Parts: sequence; C-alpha cells; structure tokens
Amino acid sequence: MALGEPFETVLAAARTGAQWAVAEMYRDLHPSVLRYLQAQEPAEAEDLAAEAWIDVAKGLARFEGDETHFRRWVFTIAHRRLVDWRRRTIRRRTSPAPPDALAEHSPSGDTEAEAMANISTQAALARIAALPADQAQVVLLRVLGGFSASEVGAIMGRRPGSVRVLQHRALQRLARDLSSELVTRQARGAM
Amino acid sequence: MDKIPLDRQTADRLLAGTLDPDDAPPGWARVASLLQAAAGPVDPVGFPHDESTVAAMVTELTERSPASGGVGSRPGSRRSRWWRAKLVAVAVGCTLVATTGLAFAGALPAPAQDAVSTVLAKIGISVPRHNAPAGPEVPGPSLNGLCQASDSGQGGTHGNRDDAVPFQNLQGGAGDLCSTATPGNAGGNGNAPGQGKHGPAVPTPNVGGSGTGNDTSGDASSNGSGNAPSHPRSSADD
Repeated sequence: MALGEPFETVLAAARTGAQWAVAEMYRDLHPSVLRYLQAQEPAEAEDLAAEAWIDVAKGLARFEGDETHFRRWVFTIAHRRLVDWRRRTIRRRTSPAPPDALAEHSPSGDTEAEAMANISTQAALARIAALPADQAQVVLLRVLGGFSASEVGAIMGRRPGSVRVLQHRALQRLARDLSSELVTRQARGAM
Repeated sequence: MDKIPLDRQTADRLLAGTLDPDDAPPGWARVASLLQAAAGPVDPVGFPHDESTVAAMVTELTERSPASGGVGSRPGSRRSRWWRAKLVAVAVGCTLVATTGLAFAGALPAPAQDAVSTVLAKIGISVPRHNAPAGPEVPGPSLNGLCQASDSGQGGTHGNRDDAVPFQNLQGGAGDLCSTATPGNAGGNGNAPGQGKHGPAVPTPNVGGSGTGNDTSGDASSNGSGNAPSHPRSSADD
C-alpha cells in the first residue's frame, strides 16, 4: 500500500472519521477494487464499489490486522458485494467480454509481439472477464489485488488447492484462446 | 488443442506479472503480455463517486466514533448492549421473585403487601393482605377452641401464651375474631356462621399447630367439620 503515513496511523485516524485518512485509504485501494468489479460487472461496478466502501467504514472499528490484512479485507467485502448482487439479479454474467470491444482492441499486427504490444488494459481485462466466473475472479484477484493463492482462497471462501486448480484452468484457457486467435489471423493474412 | 505445460512456479510468476513475455516458456508469451496489460497503470480518468463515497464513509465513521457516542463507538459495543439487556432482564426477574416471596411471607410494607396481593390475585395467586392473619386457614370449630383456650387464661404471660402468634392474631388488626365466633352453634352442630359442615373456613392463625385436635369444645370436632386441625396447644398451653 502506498500510504504516506504508517498504516496504523492512517487506520487510527480513519476510525475517528478523519477525512484525510479515509481519503488516503480510498485512493490507495479503490482503483484496484473498482477495476476488479468493472472487469466482471461493468455497469454495476461503481455502485458495488461504493457499497463495499460503506461496508468498510461500518466495520472499520472491528477490523484487526496489518496493512496486508486490510487489503485482503477490503477485497473480500468487494467480492461479497459482487456475489450478493449476482445472486439478487439471478444472472451469472450481465456483460461478459464485449465482442466489439475485444475486436477493437484485438491484435492486428502480423507478428505475435506486435499484436500483444497494442493490447490495452481494458481489452486485457475484458479477455479475462470472458472466462468462467470463478476462474475470472481468481485471475483478477491475483493480478489486480496481488494476492497469493491462499489469500484468494480466503477472499472467495475456497481452499488454496481449489484456487490453484481454477487458476491453472484459466491460464490454459487463455493460452488456448490467444493461440487459436493468432492462428486464425495468420491464416487470414496469408489469404 | 493440447494443453501447454505449465508448472506451478511459472503460473505464479505469470499471475504476479513478474514473468516477462520474452522469458516466458513456449506458448505463454501472449498470456504473459495479457496479464501484464491487465495489471497496467490505472487510468486516472474518472472516479465519479470519489468525493461522495469518501464523504459517506466519513459520516458513517463519525456516527460510530467514541466521541459521538454512536452505536459503534467501540469494538464489541453490540455485545455490550446485549449483556446490558440480559442484566436488566435478570435484575427484573430477581426483583419479581423476591417481591413475590416477601409477599407470600407477609413481610412487605403494608401498602406494598396490599398492592402485590391485589395484583397476584388477578392471576389466581392468593397472597395475604397486610392486615390479614398469617398462617393457614383454620375451620370454625378450631377457632372456637382457640378462643376458649384464650379465654380460659391458661398459660398466661408466664406460659408465653400471650406471645404466641395465634393468640395475638385473635386480637389482631381484623378485630376480635372470637367475637365473631358463636361458641354455642359451633359446639352444638358445627354450623357457626359461615362455618357449615362443608362451608368455607374462617382464616385462623395456626402457627404452632401441631396438636391433636382435641378442642376443649369437644363437639366442635365431632359435630363440626369433623376434621378440624389442631390448635396450637404446644405453644398455648405450655
């Protein structure tokens, strides 16, 4: 975490409602949290993130732990908000990887290196979000949150072994899709 | 398409964004690029709810801070409230039990005794009023016997008769009970007013009642209720 003050100082001040401390916590973690939610529910991400932060404020007095725990705790709350929202709306995925957006950001060069150099963050997140929901969550938490498999398991309520299985499947699927996509483009270019 | 071999360490490096695409094993360079792009720098444009969310958080925290005395002023405040509620409930319960017990013993102050008696009477529990004689009810014939024993002067001061509760109650706050008893009727056929064979008993003190029921009136036990409890000879006649 890139907090200017020691985490304990920021945490203690935030508990009293000091705006500078709350803002510092928010600025530090919100981009990652929002990106995690946006990748999966673009239309609802901001509302879900806001709900998650209000929950953080409600529970801050009871929070115990260091900066690492705090980061994991915030992501856990965000993840639960996402899961709850999906349960309420009874749909698994409202906005999976938008095909147009993927095409727009897809590699267009002849070589693999050239193609991947142009991929944007948004297109990369869309590609990950196109994975099955639990696989996408594992990859996003690891990539965006910087969590280990054990920490992701704690956030998602899964065992570390289960997380490793999911991440392995996710990576294999990404490799397969990207590879087949490249083969298709090379075939089109040869025609 | 066959799976591309991937060991655990490489997978961790891929997901941590620390595996450069140029150093990636065959088949994983594109995935490495994709994951690095996903973890790329945050677009600074647009966090429209920044200020409002932070303000809402500050409001929430201020309301819960100790200085404001909010409900979440300290960890475990919910548990403290629960314990307070339990303590109050236990205290109220104990007070009720103690009051009822004192009322049964007739040990409450007169107004409280009357009030508790009235309240408990409404739910079918009989508790004596403050001026009611203590002790179990005694049928009429025994009352007559007790009155005769009292009138006979046996025991007296030195016999502790005057200290005996039953004799004190004969002259108690409800008036002279012996004046309401009718020895003639009681001794004759046991039909003293309100004391018929199966009629209601007249409440009479019988604190020390452990005698044999041999009333001096004689007929009271044979022609009265026939099951008159003993009068307190043990304390009256000693």
